[in-house]
This record gives sequence, structure tokens and C-alpha cells, in this order.
Amino acid sequence: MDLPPFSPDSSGFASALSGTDGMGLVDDVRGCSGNYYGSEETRRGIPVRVFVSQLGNEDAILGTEGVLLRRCGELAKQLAPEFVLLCSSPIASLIGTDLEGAAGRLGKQLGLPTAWVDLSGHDSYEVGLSATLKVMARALSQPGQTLPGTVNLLGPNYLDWCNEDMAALRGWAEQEGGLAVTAVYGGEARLAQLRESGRAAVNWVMSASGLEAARWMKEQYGIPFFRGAPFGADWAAQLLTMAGSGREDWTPPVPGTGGGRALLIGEQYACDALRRLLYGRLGFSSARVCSFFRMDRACMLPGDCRLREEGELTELLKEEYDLIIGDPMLRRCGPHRGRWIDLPHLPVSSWLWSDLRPRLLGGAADRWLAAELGRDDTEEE
Amino acid sequence: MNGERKEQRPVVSPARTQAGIYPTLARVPGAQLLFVGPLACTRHGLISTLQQLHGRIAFLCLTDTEVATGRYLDKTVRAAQEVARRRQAGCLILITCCQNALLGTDYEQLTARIREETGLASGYLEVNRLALYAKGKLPLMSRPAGQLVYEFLAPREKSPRPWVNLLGPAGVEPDSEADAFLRAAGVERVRTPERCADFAAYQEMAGAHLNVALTHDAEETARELEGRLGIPWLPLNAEYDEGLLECQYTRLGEFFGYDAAGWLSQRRGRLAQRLARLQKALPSGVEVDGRNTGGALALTRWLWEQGVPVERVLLDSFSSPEDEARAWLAQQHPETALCRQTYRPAINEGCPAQARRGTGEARFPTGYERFHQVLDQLMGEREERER
Repeated sequence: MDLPPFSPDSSGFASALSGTDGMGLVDDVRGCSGNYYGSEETRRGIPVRVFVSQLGNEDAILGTEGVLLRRCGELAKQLAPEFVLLCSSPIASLIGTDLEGAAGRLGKQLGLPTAWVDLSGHDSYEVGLSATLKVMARALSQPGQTLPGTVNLLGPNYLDWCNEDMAALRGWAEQEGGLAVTAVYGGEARLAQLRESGRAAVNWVMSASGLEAARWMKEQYGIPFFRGAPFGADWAAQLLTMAGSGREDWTPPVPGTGGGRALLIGEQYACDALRRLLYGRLGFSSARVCSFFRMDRACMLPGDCRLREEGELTELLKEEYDLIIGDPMLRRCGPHRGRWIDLPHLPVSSWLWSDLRPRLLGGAADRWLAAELGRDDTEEE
Repeated sequence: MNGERKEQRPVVSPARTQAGIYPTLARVPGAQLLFVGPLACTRHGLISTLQQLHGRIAFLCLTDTEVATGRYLDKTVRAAQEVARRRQAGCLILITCCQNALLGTDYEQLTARIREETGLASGYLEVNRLALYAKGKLPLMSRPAGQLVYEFLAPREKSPRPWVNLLGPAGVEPDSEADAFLRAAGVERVRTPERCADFAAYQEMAGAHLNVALTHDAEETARELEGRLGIPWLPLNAEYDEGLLECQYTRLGEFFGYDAAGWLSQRRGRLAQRLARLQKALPSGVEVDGRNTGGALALTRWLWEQGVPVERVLLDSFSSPEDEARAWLAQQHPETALCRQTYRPAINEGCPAQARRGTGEARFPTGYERFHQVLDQLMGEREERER
């Protein structure tokens, strides 16, 4: 009751497409893409790549395919996209528009790779992001002979990560790890890169939203994957090594012996990386990762949990913690004990504190946490 | 793309007559808002509400199963009960969205159930963005949000001394021109919903002697209140039309037995003096931004009358039709381009700085203040420098 609605699945769809050379169309009324461009897209000056079909009352009665094909045709002339993805939102999903059929016809009409993502506007952003990345892999990647030493980065995205980390990611992976990055699913992927991504030697899943695409590519192309957000110098270095070998995956972190207890709330892989930092650098003995968004069971530790409603967080906050890391909006869920460090998360608090999102890539997370813990927090509480 | 600005020219906007749905409904003191819908809809317009309306709004995000099975009806009632239990509520307003245009929920019945279960006065607003493409022929909302603000007023005895309600948007400050005029006319108390300390004080508005409609939209509300509460009303909503404004002030004065001539002559004189002083410095071409508001074409007409050419007027689905001013423009100045912004900009514009952590509602100008506000926009900084 005290939290805002979280980013919807259509925002995950928009985020996945926003930096690409493709185009997205949400089959619904005006406003469904406005959620994203009005509340969540923080990159000023980038071209708008996601639109709505602009349904009216008559379309809801007579069917939305006509208006969808017409609008896509108009927009494709203006934008010259390399591929097109469609998705539903509440109206079109309720009337059951056949987007699969529409995507087939649109593909023929435009002569472009076209596919649809099965969304309804009722789920949260990570459902949309995950489904869109999987569809991108399925519809756009092509199998072929493996390119040794190459890696796809799956799931880093502008909703979970700050813009600076997203912009630096590819260069960081290439320079720090000597990796050859084929495609960044969730970042600024081009069609040519996505096509070639089917030949990568290994997939690096950087957020839980990249997991579905990784599983699909493993099944179809046999590309192995490993998991972890490269936040914190030590864990990032381990992950870079895994990327080189392609044989290891996420392993549970080893708690410290200092006795501290922490609660981390946010995107699972990001929080898991910060937990490692708390264990390794600060000696915390216990750290729970909780999220209002889908979690990867394989990377959960005892005590980690998926939060279904805000009352569950209120209960969690009643427990004794020395440190809590989470979006500032989550403070509304009830009184807490222990130090609270803000980690703004766009799907929760929109643009409100987006300019305060810290850089976490590689050693930046160590520096951020040290600075936060060194700061006098009396003014924040 | 349509709506892009090709060159820099001064831009003026008419006084903002519309605000977002949430801030409008939250003007009712003690009102709790409950938005029921899918995540994709409940997230709309969120940035403006996250901070300012904390503790005033709750969201019930439905799953598609709840929608398909009708379980959302009971869930809505339970959510209303929780709001009533956990928050000090004077009344409850349900808000719903486009999907309901297909579902056809009987909100009259649902709010009656909520009244029964919670004991709270309840109202509702259905928003249907499917109507955005009906070229103004279909309403976007089941009733104007501004009208719902006064729905919780119930008939009561008239106050012993003259009280007046100002009907219109938020942001009419107690030092407004309309307030000053009414005080000069002997009115004891001038109210707007936000000037009422709580829900009980808000309900006292039903004892007013007169409602004054400050915008065209408010006229419908005034008529409704006249029928329901027996409060007569007068307009004070002339949009950039000095002649009409004088008539409206005169009639308002007559209602309270006050001769407005002297007061009006003073205001008229001040505006004329300012215009004369600025005449040479007024820009040789401007653009009027009428998106999300009314009165853009009336403002355009007034600017032309002052010798300021208007090259372009930006309009959108939320701009008011203004048939008369439109016809005048077509006849007198067909060179003014009326641009309807259909598509969003091709480049992401980002979030305005003030929206990040929120600022209050802008002041709404009344009477002659509207003209001065336009001159402030055109000349403000320059005029200040010259002084």
C-alpha cells in the first residue's frame, strides 16, 4: 500500500529494444510505451525505438491487427529498423489478438525478421525483459561454427544497472578480461551481432532476466552459460576467469566471520555480488538477498526469498540487521533497525533517484560501499 | 517529425487549466485514492505522484487471472477495507483504466458495496484512453476529474455570511485577483478544496452562497452543484478576452451589490500601461504551446490583437476545441499553423529536472493575472533587466 506499482513487462520489452537497431511495437493504447519513456528511460537523446499501435474503441471491437500492421508500416518507413518485435498489453491481451499471426504477416510485408513476445501488461518488468531477450535469441540469432574466445553478455540492462556501467561494460569485458564480446542482450545490440551470437563460445548471464535466453541457447546451440553480475573487484575477476574457461558456473559465496547481518533487496544477481563484497571485504557472517522480482533458484541461499507483497518486507525489516541495502522507496515498508544504504532501482522508484544510482562495475562496487559506510548517516535516517 | 521545433522562437503557454488525474482528485482533503488495474496502467504518470501523494494513493495491481475470473471485484473491496483501516480517510476514490472499457465493471454497484463495507463516502473515475482517437467525440473519463472533486459535498444550510467557492484547477492562491475582488465585494470567506483543513471543512463548501467557475471545464461542475446543492454560479473564466472579463467581473459584483467599475478601471489601466511600455519590445514572432491545456487559440488571438505574430500553435488530444477562436484565426490569420502532435518525439527527451523529486502545483492566474502571466513569459527576464 505504500509502494508504487513496479515497472510493467512492457517496460522490460522496451528496455531490451531501446538501444538496438530494431523496433518494438506494443499493441495497445497510447501510454503503454509512455510508461517507459515517461518514467524509466534515462538516456537523454537516444532515438525512440518502441511505440504503441494506438488502439481506439473501434479497434477493440473489430480487431487490432489492421491498425497494428498499418502503424508498423508507417514507423518502419521512418526508422528503417533491422528487425521488429511485437508484444501485447492489457487491451490486446484481453481481446486475444493473434500477434503470432500478425508478426508473420508483418515480416512478409516489411521483409524483416519479425517476432512477437507473449506479454500481457500484468506482469513486472523482468518478465518482459526475460521473454524479450529469449525471443531475440530465438528469432535473430543463427547457429554456426563456434567462434573460440567469444562471449555473449546476457541480461545487463538500463533498468537494473546505471547508465555509466552499461556504457562501459563491453569495453571493460574486453580490456579487463581479454574477452571478445559478440552481443550484449539488454544493451545496444545490433542485428548483425545478435545473428552472430549463436556462434559464441560461452554465455555470461549478468542478471536473472538473461537466464531464459541462456537456457534456450544452451538447448539449441549447446552454448554453456555461467551466472553473476560483475560487481566487486574479486567476484568480477572470478567471473572474467569463468568466461575464459566456459566450464564453471555460480558458486555460493563463503560468509565472513565478523558476525554482521545484512539484508539486500533488489535485482538478485546484483545483490548477490554485493553480498560477496560484504562477506569478503567486510567480514559479514550473514546476508540475505530478497527481491520483489523473479529469482533464479539455483543462485539462492538459505534465507533468500522472493517477496510477493510489501507486508512480507515489513516483516523482514522487523528483524535485526546491521546493514540494509535497497531502493530508498522501500524504506516506506516500515521501521528498520541498522544502517540503510540506498541503492536506487528504476523498476521501483522510477526516475526519482536515478541520478544517484552508483557505479558498481568491477572495483567500483568496492569503492561505493566503502564510501557509503564511511559516510555519517545521521542525516539520512 | 510532426511537432519538432525547427528554430528557436519564444514560446508561451496559456494558464494550465488541467492537472493530472491524481493531483486533481487528491485536492479533496482526506481523500484516499485507490487505482485498480494492470501494472502497465497503474504505472502511468507515476513520477508526479511518488513523493507528493505518499500516503494518499494506493495501487491494486491485478493479474490477468483475476481479471478473467472476476475475482478482482472482491479483491477491490478488500483493498478498500485495508485503505480504510490503515489510513485516516475522509472518502475513497476508485480509479480504473482502459481495460475496464472492455470489462464493463459496474462501478456504481462496486462503490456502493465499498460504502457499505467501509462506511466511507466513495466515488470512482473510469479512464478510457481508447477514446483518445475518437477526435474528441468520446470522453476519456467517465466524468471530468475536476467534477469528482466536489462530488462529496452534500446539501446543507447556507452560511450566515457570504461565502464563495472558487471552482477550477488547483493553485488559486488566497492572494489571487479573484480573491481580492470578492473580498472587496464583501465576501467573508473564499474557499477552494485545498484551503480546507480537513474533510469536514471541505464539506462546509456546500453552504456557500455562490460558486465561481474559473475555467470553462468548471462550468459543468457549477451546473451540477447548482442542481444538486442549490448553489448559484457565475463564470470568471474569460480566456484572454478583456471585454468578456469585464462583463464577468461586473456581474459578479452585482451579485453582491458591489459596483465593480472603479476596481475594473484600475486593473484595465495597469494592463494597458504595461502593454504600452512593452509594445516596442514585444517579439516579432512566437509559438504557443497549447498541449495538455485549454485556451491556446484564445491566447493566440489576443497575441495577434496586440501585434505579436503567432507562427505556430502546438495542440494535442488534451487541448480544448475552442471553435470560435479557431474560426477567427482561420479567417484573420490563416498563416498561423495549427500543429497537432500525434507522435511522440523521435528522440527521448528525458525527465524534466523539477519532476525528479517533485515540486508543487503552479499558481493558477485569475482575471487580469492571465494577461500578465503571458507578458511575464514573453518579457519577464528582459523587463526585469530593463528596470
